[in-house]
Order: sequence, then C-alpha cells, then structure tokens
Amino acid sequence: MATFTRPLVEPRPQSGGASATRADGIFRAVLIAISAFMLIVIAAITVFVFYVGWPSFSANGLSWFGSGDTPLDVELGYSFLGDPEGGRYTTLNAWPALLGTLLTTGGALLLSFPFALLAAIFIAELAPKRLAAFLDPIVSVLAATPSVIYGLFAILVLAPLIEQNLIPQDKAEQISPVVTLTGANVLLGILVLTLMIAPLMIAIFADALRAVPVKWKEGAIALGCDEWRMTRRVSIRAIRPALVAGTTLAMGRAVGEAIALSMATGSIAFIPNPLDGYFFFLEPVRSLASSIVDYSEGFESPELKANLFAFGVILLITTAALTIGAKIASRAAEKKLGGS
Amino acid sequence: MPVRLSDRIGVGIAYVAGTILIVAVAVIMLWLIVQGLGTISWDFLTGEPAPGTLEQGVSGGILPAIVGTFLVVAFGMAVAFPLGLGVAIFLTEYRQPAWLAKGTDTAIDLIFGVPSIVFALFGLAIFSQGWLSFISNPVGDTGMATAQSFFCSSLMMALIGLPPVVRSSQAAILGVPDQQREAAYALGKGRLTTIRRIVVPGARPGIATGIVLGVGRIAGDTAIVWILLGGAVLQAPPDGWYLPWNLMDFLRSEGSTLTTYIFFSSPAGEGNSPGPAYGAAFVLMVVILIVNIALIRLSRRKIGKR
Repeated sequence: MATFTRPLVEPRPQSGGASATRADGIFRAVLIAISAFMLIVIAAITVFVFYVGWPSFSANGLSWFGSGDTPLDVELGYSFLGDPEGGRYTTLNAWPALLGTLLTTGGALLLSFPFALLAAIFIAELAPKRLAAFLDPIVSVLAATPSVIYGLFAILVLAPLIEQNLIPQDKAEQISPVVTLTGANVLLGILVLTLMIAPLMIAIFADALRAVPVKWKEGAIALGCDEWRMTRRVSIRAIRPALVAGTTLAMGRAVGEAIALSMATGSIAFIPNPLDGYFFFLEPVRSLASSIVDYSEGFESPELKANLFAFGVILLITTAALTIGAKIASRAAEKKLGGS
Repeated sequence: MPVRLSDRIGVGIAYVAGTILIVAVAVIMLWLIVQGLGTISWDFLTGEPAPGTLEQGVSGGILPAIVGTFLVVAFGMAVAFPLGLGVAIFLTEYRQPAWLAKGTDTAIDLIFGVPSIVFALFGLAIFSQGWLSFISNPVGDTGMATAQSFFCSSLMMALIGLPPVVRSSQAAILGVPDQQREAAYALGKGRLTTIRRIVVPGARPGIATGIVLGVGRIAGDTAIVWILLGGAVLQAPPDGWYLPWNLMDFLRSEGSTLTTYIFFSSPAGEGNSPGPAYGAAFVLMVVILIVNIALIRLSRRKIGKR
C-alpha cells in the first residue's frame, strides 16, 4: 500500500507567465466542492439511516438488544401488519438477528483466518513460481466473484450435501416440532461467508508477505532457520498489522453481507440451542443484513421500516468501526515495513 | 541443516491449504461451466423472462437482466468516474485546505466499508421523498415516490464504484514524476493545464484500473438492485424500451439485473428455477472474468511503462 503523501510541486505565482488564471481558480473550487460532497454523503447516510431507524430504538430502549418471549419473526410480522388486535406494534427484541450475524461472521473468521494465512504462505513462499503466478489472478477473481454466485453454489450444491449426510432422519423428526432442519443453516452460512472472505484475506496476506524485506529473510536463513521457521519467526511477525487489517476488512464484508446469507442460512430468526450438540450448527438463523433483504417488501409499514433501518444503524456503526480499525492497522503496517 | 518434524508438519499443512484452494476453485468453476452451458442458448440470451410452471417459476430468457446490468454499470460509473477522479486529483495535487483533505480521505475509506445493503436503505430514505418522484414513480397520491428505478439504483451504485476509482487514480497520479510537472510549470503552464495535459494522461492506466475495479463491484452487487430497482424479474420492460425517445421512461421504471435475476431464480427466491439461475450465473461470471482479464492487462501495461 502506498502512502499518499509527498511534497507538493506547485507553480510559483510570482514567477510571472500564465500562473493562476481564472480557469485554474474555477477548477480548484470544483475539486473542493466535490471533496466536500464526499463528507456530505457520509453525513447524510448517517443522519438518514439514524433518523428513520430511531423510533425502533426509542420504543424499546435497551431491550432492543435482548431476546423477548415473542419470536423475532412474529414481531417483525406484527410490525408489518399490526398486532392481532389491529393496533400498531413497535416491540422489537433483535437478539436473534444479532446472534445470527455474530455466529456466521465469527464462524467464518475462525475458519477462514488460518486457512487464508496458510494459503497465503503457500502462494507467497512455498509454491513454485509458475504455480504462484497462476494462483494470483485466480485469487483475485475469487475475491471479485459476486456473493450471489457463492450463495447459489451454497444452496444448490452444498445444502443438499449437508441435508443428506449430516442430518439423520430420526434427529430431524425429534427436533421438527421446534424447528425444521434443512440444508440451509448456520453451517452453510459460515461456509458461504468463508468462500467470500477467504480470497480477500489471502490476497492481502500474500501481498504483505511479499513486501517483507528479503534481507530479513536472508538473515534468518543465515542464522540456520529453514523455510518454515523463517516464515513463522520473521515473515508472520512482520506482517502482523496486515493480518489485522485484512481480517477487519474481511469482517466488515461478512457483517454486511445480505444476499448470500439470505440464501444460505434458512432465513428463520431462530436461536440455535447449544444443548443440541453439533446440531447447533445445523439449525437456521438469520443475520441483521439478510433480515433487511427478507422483509424488503414491507417498507410501506412505518414500524417495520423503522425496525429494518435500526438493523442498518447497527451495520453502519459496526462497519465504520471496522474501517477505522483497519486503517489504523494498515498505517502501522506501513510504518513497520516502510522504513527498511 | 536439521529439519524439525514440527516444521515439516507446518509446511505440509500449508501445502494442504494451497491444494484445498486449487480444488475449491476448480470445483466451483467446473460446476458453473457444466451447469451454465447446459442452459445457455441463443433464445435464453436474447429472450424476455416469462412465468414458468408450478415446479419452475421462471422461464424464457435473460435479455432484460443483461441490459439492466450494463445500464446500472454505465450510469453508475458515469457518475462515479468524474467525482472519483476529482477527489483523487484534489487529494494528490492540491491537499489544501488540509482538514478537508484529511476528512475526504477518511470519508472515502468509510464509503468503501459501508455494506451495500446500508446504501440501499439510504437510497430508499432519500429517493422515496415525493419531490424526487421524477427519478422513479409516484406512489398513488400518497406524496411518496417508489424509489425503485434505474436512476435510483445507479446513483447508489456510483457510491460503490467510487472508492476504487479514487484509490487507483491517487496511486497512479503519485507515480507521475515531479520533473514532468516542473517542466510544465517552467514552460509557463498553469495548474489546470498541467493536470489536464501531463498528470492525467500519465496516470491513465491506473485510472483505467480504478474504473475496471468499480465496474466489477457494481456488476456484482445484488442488495442495492434488489431494493432500489425492485425484484421485477418477471416483468417485461415497457414496450419499445430500446427506442431512444423512450429512454427516460425506461430509466424511471423498475427492472432487474443479472444478480437479482439469479437471486430471484434461486431456491431462496420466489422463482425456484435452478436452470435459469445457473445460466445467468454463468453469464455474470463471464462478465467478471472479462473485467479481471482487463485488470491483468492494465497492470502489465503499467509495469511495462516504468
């Protein structure tokens, strides 16, 4: 990553000739206006999403973040159609959706981080040059593949596999009064997010590994390290900030992913029961982002609209925090590797 | 040199990870190619979608979805490119006032990080206001607008395409040697002329890279299209939409792109038609591959120039 600073080269106004003409002044003003517009966009996004979502928070207070006696899907349904007596319905306990986002994102990070790190080491340090040159563009194609295609792959190929091999009939029947088990569940959500974010992490990690100064590596080899020890003791330590930056970036992607998760997690705002053993991972969930997509036809109801925008507020705050975290980490990375 | 067992295991695991990566890529690509080619035909590519049978909700072709993807990409980039290049020039060539430069730089990072579903919500909140109904359509006489049109979705898509344009252009502009700027100033050229004649042409490959990256992001986005263009996959475009004088009406109408077509046709959507979904996914993947090949070419050209 380049640092975007260097001394400015400017024409000196007193040098005569055609220095600051009127066109120059207008151009400068336009550029300043465009740049200020970016600040306005960010401010407007924050203001509008908060403004529309606020009634949902103010009606529920802190219990917004808790879990209620009424299932989330019923609450969202009532907020769309009105409660059974036909009145307005503003109660919302969003814990199931928060949990859905936490479970899928957390699981995907746990699965993809070690895999991405190892794959990046393979590409940057171990693989033959030709194979690495072949894998590089493939990783970027994978990182650019639209999430809806991963979602399609998950639901048409992986879901049937999970359903046939991991869900025994008797156990499914035993749980069926509580929730129907299908191939679309927490596990599939984690898998589809892993497919999405692992290439992104591999690309960032491999770039960082390549930027580790050769001298440092040669030093390690000269001290008697073999390739693996050198990677572990020198390269990985040197790229720690890049590991943080890449992971936070990937986490932002995973938290905000709506479509692929809407396809893969079964789209029921269920709270998986840890007492079910490994079936915990075979129960459906629904994340914040995919809830917005799933209920997107109900925006004409002000109560449901407020609830969905409140989900958007949580996503906005989370991703903004992750963005700033990633920025701080990548600054540290530049400092660490830039000085050599 | 003694090689410890733990080291051998480590290297072994890394090789396994690499192999898994290669196998996963091969499986996904083969799956797309086999299933996609089974569906693709001339009629599929040039026909309009139609309601299908009970088992398979979607039949017919995907022409409106292909056109929709190209429209959203073209309009989104038409907005994002001038804005993005302007921001990049400001952040590299001017940087004054400093507070604005710092703020804009952070704003671009934040825009990069905001999930597209939040942009979709933002667009919905803004464009559903009645006085903006000229870019979508009014909802009855409620004084609101539908906020679902090519205009609405393209404007939000511009925000998705903007950060890559800014970042690539910035890096490229920094790569233009200062001597060239000094030479232009020495010849008595002003700042605007120098930027227009020296800096921007010198940074052209990097700027193009940014555009291509932005195109890839826009073409692959589903959430914005789903909420701001409508899920109108089975709705044929208005009659005579391809005629130039109907363009405005067409751009104000709802529609679909390849991504929403796939989402609608998947078992998760209402269509539940794997066949057409595979076909559309294959076409979309071809678009993404073309974008990536363009990227590789551009980066080679940049290296060659140095």
